[in-house]
Amino acid sequence: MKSFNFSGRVPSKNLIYISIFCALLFNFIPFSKSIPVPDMVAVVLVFWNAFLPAKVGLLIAWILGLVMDVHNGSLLGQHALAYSILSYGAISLHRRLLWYSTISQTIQIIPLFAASMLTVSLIRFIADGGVAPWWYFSRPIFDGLAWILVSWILQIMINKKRESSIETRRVFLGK
Amino acid sequence: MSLSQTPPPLFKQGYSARLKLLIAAFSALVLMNIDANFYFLEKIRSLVTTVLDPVVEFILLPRDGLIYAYNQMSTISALNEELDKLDKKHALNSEYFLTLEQIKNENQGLRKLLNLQKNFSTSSIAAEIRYKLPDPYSKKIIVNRGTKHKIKVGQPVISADGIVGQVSKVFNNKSEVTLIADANLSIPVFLPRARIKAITKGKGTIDGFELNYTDLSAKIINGDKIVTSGLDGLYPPGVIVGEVTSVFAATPGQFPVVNAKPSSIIGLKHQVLILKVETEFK
Repeated sequence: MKSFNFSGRVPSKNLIYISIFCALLFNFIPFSKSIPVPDMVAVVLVFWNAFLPAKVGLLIAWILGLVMDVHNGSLLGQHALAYSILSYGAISLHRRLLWYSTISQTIQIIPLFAASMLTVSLIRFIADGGVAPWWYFSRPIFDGLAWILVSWILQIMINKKRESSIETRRVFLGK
Repeated sequence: MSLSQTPPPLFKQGYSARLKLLIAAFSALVLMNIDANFYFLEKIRSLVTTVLDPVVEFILLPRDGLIYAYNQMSTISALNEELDKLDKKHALNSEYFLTLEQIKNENQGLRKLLNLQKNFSTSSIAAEIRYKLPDPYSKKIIVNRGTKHKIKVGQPVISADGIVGQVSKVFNNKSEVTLIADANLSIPVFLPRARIKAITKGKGTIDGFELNYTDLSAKIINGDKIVTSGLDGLYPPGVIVGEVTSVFAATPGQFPVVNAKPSSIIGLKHQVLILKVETEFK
């Protein structure tokens, strides 16, 4: 438990939904095609999967994957598969991940993103012969950078929630 | 230590994560297989698209606003310059138009004589490109016309510069166009200078395509113009597709590798024309 102490901090359901919705909005922004833009939905999903596996599980990942597939115009199920793999990896890592600093977490998370991307690119190639340009395969690194940003913002949000709730408790319960 | 305040349940943990992954991955694979080979998932797709559409349009608002502001601010002098240019072009073109009209009439008469079918219907609909699809495995764009405007899957899309691609999915008020650079689109073409037929195949990763099944002995050189041959009965013949950028001569037993680039490069605010051709798709 290096940088943040999470004990006793419960993020509200709203925070989970709003963060996922914001990530979806980010993914809908049409970027120029020649930069590997991090997949924000994947990053936020991995964050919640790793830190709150009881609330955000594979099913949410799978459904979000379908939504991304429809928007991307890719094969239906492609992102669902990618997010399922990510989600599984994050859930398996969740007991270990929290004990590291954000940078060490990033180093452990990047191979997970890479594994998910490689699986999908292989299956996509088999399914309809689609090949991604070479620069696209550097995306896990950008996902890792996005992980630093996302976990920084979400940790601030979670901590903020707790402080205010304690304040109100003091006021209302006189503790 | 996870974020949840209560400890994880000891006994009632649900299915194991591995089993869940297996189910999720299997269902995703089945879905992909169905989507790649059949068409009946299109209903789900168009339903989700209809729900997502307002959100996507909302995200595009700032960009559209910027484009609008830029268009408003383009100065009068620039417009005058363009007007001048267009005037000159018009003068040049009017001569061609005269002869074109003449030839059209003549052609019509001759065709009637021969009892031939009309070459291709001139019915078409103008559309505007909204955005490129972010899927890196394919080359597709979204245009702002759909089932409302009676667009059908398979209709060819052209722009002022040449062939753009083909409509591959139609939603309520937008449709997806596969570009000729996409690995899954092929168009029968004709090289007027070398006088050979070929078939294009998109590269998928970059904006370009290859010419497959060219004549082994044909002398193709860089800069050769490529036009549609119209042999598929879908694309009107004689529309420019692109030009040859590099040629690697044929080795024994192999076709020559001919790389080409499309003449119409897709940018922002590009107007395209969807030709209303009868297609096999319902």
